[in-house]
Amino acid sequence: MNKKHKPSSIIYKVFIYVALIALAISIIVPVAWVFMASVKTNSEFIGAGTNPWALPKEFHYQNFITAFRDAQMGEFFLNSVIVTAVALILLLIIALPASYAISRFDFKGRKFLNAMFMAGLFININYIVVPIFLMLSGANKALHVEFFLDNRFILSLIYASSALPFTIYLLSGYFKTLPKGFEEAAYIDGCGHFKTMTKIMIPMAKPSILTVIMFQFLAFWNEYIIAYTLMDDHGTLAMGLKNLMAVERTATNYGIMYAGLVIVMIPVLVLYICVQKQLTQGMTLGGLKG
Amino acid sequence: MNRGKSQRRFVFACLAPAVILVVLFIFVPTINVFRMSLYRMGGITNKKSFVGFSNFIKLMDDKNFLEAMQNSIAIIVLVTLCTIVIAVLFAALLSRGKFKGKNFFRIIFYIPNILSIVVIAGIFGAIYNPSTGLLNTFLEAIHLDGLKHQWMGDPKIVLYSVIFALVWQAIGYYMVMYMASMAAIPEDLYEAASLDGATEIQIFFKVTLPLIWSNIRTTLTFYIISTINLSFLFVQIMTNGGPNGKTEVFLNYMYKQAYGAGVYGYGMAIGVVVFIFSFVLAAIVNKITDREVLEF
Amino acid sequence: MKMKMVKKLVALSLVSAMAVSGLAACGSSKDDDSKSEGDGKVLKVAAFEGGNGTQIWEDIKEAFEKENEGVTVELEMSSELDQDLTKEIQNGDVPDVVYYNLGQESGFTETMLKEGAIADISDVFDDELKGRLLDGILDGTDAQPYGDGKIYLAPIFYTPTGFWYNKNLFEGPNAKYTLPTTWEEFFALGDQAKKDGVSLFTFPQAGYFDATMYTMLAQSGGMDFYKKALQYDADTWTSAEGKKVLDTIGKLVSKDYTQADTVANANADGGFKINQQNVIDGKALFMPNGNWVISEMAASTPSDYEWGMMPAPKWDGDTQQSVYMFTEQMWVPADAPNMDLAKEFVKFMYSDTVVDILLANETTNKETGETSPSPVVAPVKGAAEKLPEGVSQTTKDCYAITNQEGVVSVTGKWATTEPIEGLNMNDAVYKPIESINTGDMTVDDWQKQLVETWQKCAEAAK
Repeated sequence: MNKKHKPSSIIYKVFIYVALIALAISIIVPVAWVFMASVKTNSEFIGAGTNPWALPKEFHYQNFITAFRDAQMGEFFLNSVIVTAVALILLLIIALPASYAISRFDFKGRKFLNAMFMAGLFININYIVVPIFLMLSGANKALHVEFFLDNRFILSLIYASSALPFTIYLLSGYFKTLPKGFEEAAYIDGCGHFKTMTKIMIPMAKPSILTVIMFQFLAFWNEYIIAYTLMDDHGTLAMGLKNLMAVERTATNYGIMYAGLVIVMIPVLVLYICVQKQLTQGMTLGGLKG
Repeated sequence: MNRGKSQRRFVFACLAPAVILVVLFIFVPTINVFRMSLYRMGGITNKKSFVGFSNFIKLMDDKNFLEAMQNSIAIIVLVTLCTIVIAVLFAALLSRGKFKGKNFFRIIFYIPNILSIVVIAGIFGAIYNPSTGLLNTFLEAIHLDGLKHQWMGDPKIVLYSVIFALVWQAIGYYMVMYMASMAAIPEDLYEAASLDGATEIQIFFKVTLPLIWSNIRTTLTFYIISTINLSFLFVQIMTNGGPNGKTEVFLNYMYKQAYGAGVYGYGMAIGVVVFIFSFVLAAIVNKITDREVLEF
Repeated sequence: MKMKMVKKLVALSLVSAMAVSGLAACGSSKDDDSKSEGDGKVLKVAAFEGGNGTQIWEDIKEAFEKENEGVTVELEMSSELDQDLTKEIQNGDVPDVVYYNLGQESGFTETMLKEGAIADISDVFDDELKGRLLDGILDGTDAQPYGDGKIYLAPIFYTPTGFWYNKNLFEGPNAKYTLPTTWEEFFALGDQAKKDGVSLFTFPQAGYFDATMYTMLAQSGGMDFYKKALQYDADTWTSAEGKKVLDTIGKLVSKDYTQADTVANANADGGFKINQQNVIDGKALFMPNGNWVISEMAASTPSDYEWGMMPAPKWDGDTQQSVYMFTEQMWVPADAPNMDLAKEFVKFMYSDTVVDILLANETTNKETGETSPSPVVAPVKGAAEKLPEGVSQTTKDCYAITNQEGVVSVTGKWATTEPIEGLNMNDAVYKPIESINTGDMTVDDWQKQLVETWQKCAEAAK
């Protein structure tokens, strides 16, 4: 450890603090401002002489009630929880064995599959969402059912699929770093492939799994383009917010709009504060060495 | 022999679900995008006629597309450069520096990354508003009126306003990633360096940077992929390409063409070009940043 | 099940045959028909949720159901109707009737027209109905988008458009300025206002120049010139008349006359309202707009404020004054499952019942719960004269303008063409206005771009 203090170190430190504080302020202030704006009345936003920095004249909490009701936040919240949870479970069940197999076994076609998953990284979900929609709607028509669209499970499955290339890339990167000795020992003890994977290898990947969960939780929770295209009555929270923004903007109800932003922001912020330690630790051990 | 067979079975069982899903929900739709780019078809009714490569040929003369391409490349390059420099610097500071509040800063810096794009766009709408925006009213309050700008209106500035928002939301994510790989650098390397009398800055360039180089390389690919995606989501909500195409990016242009102009096939041709572009760009970047990996 | 279907189809075709031959004129027999036709029928009506609120459609639904026993109207209202319908139509779930007008940012109706997915509803407009509608309202390209004499779009609402301003600045005890009638006076006023620190002009979004440009083209070159321009006549923009329009707009939107925040707000999501607010707040004197702006801005308009509207100025020596009639359209998708009932519904929009519902419309302020009159006027003769008590004088004046001596009503839109790759009409025609404001483009660049666009459109015109 370097414990010496050089003469330039004070200037250096001041500079560091200024830089860090500047960035921190640029994050805290706007986020805090949205919280403040969410309890303002409309007249505090529009018209001559309004100051965006002024404190709210009164605590206009009605904005939250209106936003919650108009955006069907209660129902959408539940849908978001279901879709996100199911998608995460599916993702892990599918990605873990795949990453394990592709990183620890040598077999014909491994290179090809690796390349395929890598190529998947470059496919932007934004331009394949309509073909996916057409495919699902075609399946509905072919089978004479109303099953494939507006279905929370299907949405979860598509979320999981869209995250597979990145997750496999991440997890297999981690599995590769583990010494070969683990499996040999397990085989000698009489464990089969499956048992070796579930009992020995996957538990060791816990930090990486945590990283995956955190990343994909945020991605699934905040996603709205796929949800918007595939869902109708069973919308998600991000969709509700997008709708709310569209309606309130045309109606210029700024307070209600910001209240909606806050409602969507809070669960993520709370969760983040609870798990931030594991998140950064997970990344530390997550074998993101590429 | 038997073992080989059971291993093959195991590998197959492990990979089959992932392969099926990736093929079904990623590759088949992508092939459809490629196929539809060869048709002239509407986005709503999907009536179509085969036109071969005509969409691609028209694309080469479409100056709106070329402008969108130019903007997208500028965004990718600038967002990547700014984010890398800031994120690596701050990561080094937070993992090597010795001062109070390290944890606090780490937590705060990651916040933009957890927010929904809709929320971020809402926040930046409030910041950039010309007369009641947080930025301009703040500059006015501290008597720096000269720095006030039409952040969303001045064609010379607006692209940078969008880039700032993108960098703002990306810093935390990459910073934490670089911190992770810095934490993996053995402490004795630093000790050896400082015993040799190296300053913190020298240590940064001689030890830290080379050792996390492979990590930075990996993230370059992420930058390309995610900036293409995020610039679309930001632009769609913040400026919708305006003023007069000055912030148009290619995926937003693709959407406008596919749904707003009745030429869905043409929109898909744009999608194909974007896909190939990002793939080739990633390959080139990978090639030119390839240098001997320092192991520790 | 199948039998029932066939029976219904027969009944339907009978009704439509009768409607076409005009036999349905007799009230009682018509009622019987719609009863037998309507049993258990569901008519899906999709309506854009805009400034007029949703109550108006609930009322129309109720009235239509009352008149057509057994018919249920299923309403779908959304402020992002274009996106919702795109999805539904792709999925094969086509609505029967759609209210979504031309000229929206999304261009949804235009796209449907380009794809040939809107039904020909000329037979709705029989001579009786035509006689009740405002003269000329069905002749423009906003009813006959392909210019082929067939009506595809039913103009259900209309409003005269022009430049909107704060009436108190020009009339009454606190009047500061005199209302200009020519462009020369208009710009002179701009120079005067600048000394007071006020800008002459602002615009909500570049797209709001549509009505202004239509008016100015008709004003500058007369009706024949205007109609040829809508059909992409090659000389439109190189002619003296066309150039005059471009030069005037170029001067108008230059930094000298247009409020500085305009372009920045125009592109930000929802920012068009801030530009409109700037007229209320006195930062700019005029903006192009329509009658809807009153209710759109009601929540943030001071109680003593009064709107005024004047047509876009004329040039020195012009004897006539053009006013553009903005219409909002309803249409029937070509694949609508209940085509005949859908046409009935379109026709119903012009009935006295609906005309009255529209006039009595009110909007509610979400925050305060206050209601204010927000009448909508159908293009039916006499409707504008029936504007109810409590409606502002502005609205009444605004509709009365069209009856004045020497005023010519202008309707129409750029004609619909085959889709053109890489061309978005709105962006190509109006967006350069932003670049002229910021100094990125000159009027000559704009003219060049328009000539190119007109060439492409003329080639792709049906």
